[in-house]
Amino acid sequence: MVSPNFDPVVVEQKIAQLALRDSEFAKRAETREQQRQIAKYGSVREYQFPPNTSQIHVTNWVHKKWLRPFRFMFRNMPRPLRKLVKRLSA
Amino acid sequence: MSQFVIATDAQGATLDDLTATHKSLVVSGSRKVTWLVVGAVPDAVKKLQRRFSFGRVRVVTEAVELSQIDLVVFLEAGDGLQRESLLVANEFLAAQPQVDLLYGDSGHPTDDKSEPFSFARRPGWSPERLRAHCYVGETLIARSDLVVNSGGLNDLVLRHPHDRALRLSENAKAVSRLAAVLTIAKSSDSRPSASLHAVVEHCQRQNIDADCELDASVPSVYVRRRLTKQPSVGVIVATRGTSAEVFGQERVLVVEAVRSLFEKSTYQNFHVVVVADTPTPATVIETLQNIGGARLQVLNYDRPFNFAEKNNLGAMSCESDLILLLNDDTEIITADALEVMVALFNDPQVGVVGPMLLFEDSTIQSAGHIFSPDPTDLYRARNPETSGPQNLLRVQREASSLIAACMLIRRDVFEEVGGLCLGFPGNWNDIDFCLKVQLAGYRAVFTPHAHLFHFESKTRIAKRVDAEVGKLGARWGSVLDDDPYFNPRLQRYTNIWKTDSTSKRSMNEALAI
Repeated sequence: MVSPNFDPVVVEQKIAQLALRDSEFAKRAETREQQRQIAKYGSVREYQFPPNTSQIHVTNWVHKKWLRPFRFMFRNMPRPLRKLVKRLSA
Repeated sequence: MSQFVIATDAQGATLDDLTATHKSLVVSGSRKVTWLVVGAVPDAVKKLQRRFSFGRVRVVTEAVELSQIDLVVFLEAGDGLQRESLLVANEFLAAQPQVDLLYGDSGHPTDDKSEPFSFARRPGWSPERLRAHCYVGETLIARSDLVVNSGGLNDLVLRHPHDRALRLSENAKAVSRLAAVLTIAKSSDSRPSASLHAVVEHCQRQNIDADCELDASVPSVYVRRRLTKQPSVGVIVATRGTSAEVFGQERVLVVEAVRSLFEKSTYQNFHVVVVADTPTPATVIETLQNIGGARLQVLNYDRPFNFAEKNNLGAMSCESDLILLLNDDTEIITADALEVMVALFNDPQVGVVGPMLLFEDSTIQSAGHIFSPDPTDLYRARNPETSGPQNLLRVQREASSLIAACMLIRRDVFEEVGGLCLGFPGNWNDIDFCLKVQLAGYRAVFTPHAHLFHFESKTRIAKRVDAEVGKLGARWGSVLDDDPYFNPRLQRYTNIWKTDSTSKRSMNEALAI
C-alpha cells in the first residue's frame, strides 16, 4: 500500500521517468499528426480552435445577425408559403 | 462491384413490408442482388418470386452458398436500403480492406410533413456500448467469411439484431462506422434495442464475469462486472485546503471529499495521498489525518501551481494497482461508485474509467468530453434524467476523453504513457492523458452507474492559452477535429450534439425529451 519509506529522491526519479515517457508519447503523437495533416492539407498548419466554439459562445447559425431580416420575413409569410419553403428545404 | 446477398428475417412480416424492402433493393446501387428471405409465409414468398423474378433482385428462401458472395447485408423486413447505399458501402470497404463489419446511420419516418425523416447518427465503434444496447442499428454489412465464422448466414439472420451484432463483432478483425444513411427504417423509433439474453450469452462466450440487468425503460443492459480481485487504489487529492459554501453550509472541500470516501464508499481497499500546497491550513491537514489515519498520507507541494505535476507526484509517492485522481471539491453520491469503476478493469484493455459527475444542484457536470473541436463536458448543466440521443447517457461506453476531476487509471498504463503532461499545468492535461492512453492501445470508458458530486462553479470556463491549444493540436489535432465517438454529420449546439437541423425536434431528440 503506501510506500513505507517515502524517499523524495526515488519519487523525483520516478517523476523524471514519467516526463521522459510523456515526451516519447508526445513525439509519437506529433509525428502521426503531422503525417495526417500533410495527407489532408499538404502541409503542417499551426493548430487553433475555430472562433466562437467555447462553451460560453453559443453559435447556432440561425442566430447570426445578418439572418435576422430573413427570419423575420419567413416568420411573417403566409403559412402555406412557409410550409412550402420548409418542404423544399427538407 | 462486390457480390451482395441481402438477408432478411421475414418472420411476422407482411407482404407490404417485403415489397417495400424489395423496392429499395432495386435502387441500392448493385446490378444483381440475391435476397435471402427467411421465415416468410410461403404464399408471400411465392408472390414475391412471381412478381420480381425478372428484376435485378433474385429472391431465395434456401441457404445461400457464400463462397461466391463478398458481402452480406442484414436488413430488417420493411426497412429499405437508401438509394446507392450498396455502392457507397462497397467503395468504403474496398478502401478499407481490414474492415470486415460495417454499420451506418439510418432514417426514421416522422409525422412532420416538412421533415419526413429523423436520422439516427451513430458514433464510432464502441464495444462497451454494444454490450449495453444495439447502438449500431439493425442493418449490418459483413464480409462473407466473417458471417461463416460467426455461425453462418441462416443462423445469424434469425437472431435478434443485438445478438447478431455481438456475435459478428466478437469475430470481426475491425469494425467501422460509415457516416452516411444506409437504411430508411420502417419504424419511427430510432432508439437502439437491447436483448438481455444476447448480452448474457455474449458475456459467457467472452468470459466476462458479470451480472447483467435489463433496464426496460431505456432499454439497455447493464453489464455489472463482478469484483473477483480487490485491487488497491491510491487516491490522489490535490488541494489548497480551500473552503466554500456547499448545500448552504460552509465546508472545507478536501475534508468532506476525503470523509465521503472513507464513510460512504463500499470499496475500502484504498489509501489517500493528499498533495497539499504550502498555504494549506495546518488544521485542515490535522483533520484529514484524523479521518484517514494510517491510510492517509499528506505531501507538501511548495512549487508554483501545476495540477499535472501535483498528481504525478501523488501517484509516484504510493504503490497501488490503480490510481484515482480526485479533485478536492468532489463527494461520493452512489456508495458503490468506486466498486463499479474498479470492476471495469477486469477488462485488460480498459486503461481509464470515469464516472458521471453532477453539480451541487444535481445537474450534469460531466458525462465525459466531446471534441468539436475544443473539448467540452458532455451535457454540462443538463438534467441528469436526460437519456440523451440514442440513450447515450444511460450506458457504459467508450469516450475520447474523461475529466480528471475523478478518473480511475490502471497504474501500469499511467506509467507507460508518462502520467499527466507537465506542459499542461492547468487545462487539457486530462484530454492529453486520455488520448495518450488510447494511442497506447487502451480504452477510456465512461460509466453512468457511478455518481459523484463535483462542486465546480457552473460558470467556470477553462481559460484558453493559445500556446497550450497549439500544443494540444500539434499532438491531437485530427482527433479533436473529428471525435471518433460522435458523428461528423451531427452539429454542436453548446455542449450537446444534434442533427444539423434548426427544428425544435432536432433539439428534443438531442435531449431525449
